[in-house]
Amino acid sequence: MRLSGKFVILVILGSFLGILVFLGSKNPADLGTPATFFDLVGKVFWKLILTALVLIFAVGFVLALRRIGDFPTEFGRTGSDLNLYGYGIGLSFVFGVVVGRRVLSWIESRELLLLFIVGVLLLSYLLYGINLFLSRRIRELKADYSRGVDSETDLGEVLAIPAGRRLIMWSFFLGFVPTLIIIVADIFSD
Amino acid sequence: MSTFFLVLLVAVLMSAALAYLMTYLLVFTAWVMGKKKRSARPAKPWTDELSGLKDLLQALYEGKVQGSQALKKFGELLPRHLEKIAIEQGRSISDVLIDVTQMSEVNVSGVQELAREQVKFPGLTEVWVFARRPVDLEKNFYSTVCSNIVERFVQYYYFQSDYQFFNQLRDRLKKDIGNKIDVDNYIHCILLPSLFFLVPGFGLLITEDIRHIKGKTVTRIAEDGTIIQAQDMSPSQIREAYLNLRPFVEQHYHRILPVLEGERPQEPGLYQQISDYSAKVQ
Repeated sequence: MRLSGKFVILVILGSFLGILVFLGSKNPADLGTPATFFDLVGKVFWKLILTALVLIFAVGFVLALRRIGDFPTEFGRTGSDLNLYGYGIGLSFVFGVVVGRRVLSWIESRELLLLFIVGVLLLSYLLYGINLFLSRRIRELKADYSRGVDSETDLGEVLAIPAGRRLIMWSFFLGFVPTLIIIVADIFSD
Repeated sequence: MSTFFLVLLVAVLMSAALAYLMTYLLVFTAWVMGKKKRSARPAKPWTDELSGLKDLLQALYEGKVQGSQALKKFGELLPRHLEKIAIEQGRSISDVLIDVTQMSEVNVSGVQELAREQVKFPGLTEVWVFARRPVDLEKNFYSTVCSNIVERFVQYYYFQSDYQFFNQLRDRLKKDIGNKIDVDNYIHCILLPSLFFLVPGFGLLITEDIRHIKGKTVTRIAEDGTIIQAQDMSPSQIREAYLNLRPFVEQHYHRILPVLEGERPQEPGLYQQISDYSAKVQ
């Protein structure tokens, strides 16, 4: 695998995030009503970037913690874990609605709101199941992974082959989708 | 509704971007950690890539590994190999070890080795095969038979209970080398009562100088009777086999074959007892 090309993409993505952070650094969170459309976009992007950074940090932190603690790590199940995080966030929204907190203000009807949140939870379940199937496909890549990809060496081997990389990427994607639907929906409420 | 679709769109796009970012962050991390491990670790010897005894034997055969290197690797692989045998055969390790250590001779040959031995055997003039299911039609052996006949003019005598094997061999040889040589002059078959083929069988390599005659006795056969393994015959076994089979060849083919050193006038041997039941096929 030619790492340099991918590294360049990482640098570009990182720079893009940095630029958006800079653009958002006019502290739009303080603005009660955005003065211009640009400010509105900046405000939303700022929160999206914050979300992205928190998620990256959270996932990375959990993976590192598992490794340092020498727990059975199962790197191939990270995507499924992300679905569970989203499920947790969805549940907290349900509790918010039940206790009367203001949740997802752009959905005016309470019934529609519950429908939306429950729909996201069900989507989380569905994608969790699909992610478990992807985890099995990752394990089937090599006989040594029959008990799971539980070391950084194994993970490195999986990531070194295109099929393994694709599976991991899809796993992350399916893990992020329901989580981000609910987070982005909350950001748009502001 | 438009907000809903916008939320979906942004979530999906962000998920894709984050999935890509996370994957390549992990790739980069794995690459960095792998680089550190590779620089810290001394280069592994080639023999570390051999995963089992089979690979080691193949590498030995191909000359890729030799001598002390091979024995060292053998020592590493043997325990796991013996454990595997014990599990496959449903036996204890001690039973398997007893089998291994009681092998008094290390000249047990598989079919491949038998074939190689015949090709290289110096002074070979004839091969006498006494077996229910000779291996001469198997791919490792058949080419040896062909090259022995074409290049060294070796004669093959098959002692069989029926025509089946011999006819198959003859048809195949005629098809493959029939244009170069008259196959019928080099392969012969003598039928004997099938009772004699209850034993696994043996083969004699007859040389120009009869003192260098060699014999292989079958030590292991598969369920269908195919020979898997053979072992060198002792001099007395070779002598007895040669003396008992020689009259069949002499009488059926009107030949006078060499006598062995110190040979005494024989008591009525096998030929005298069963000559009426033997038949020459070719």
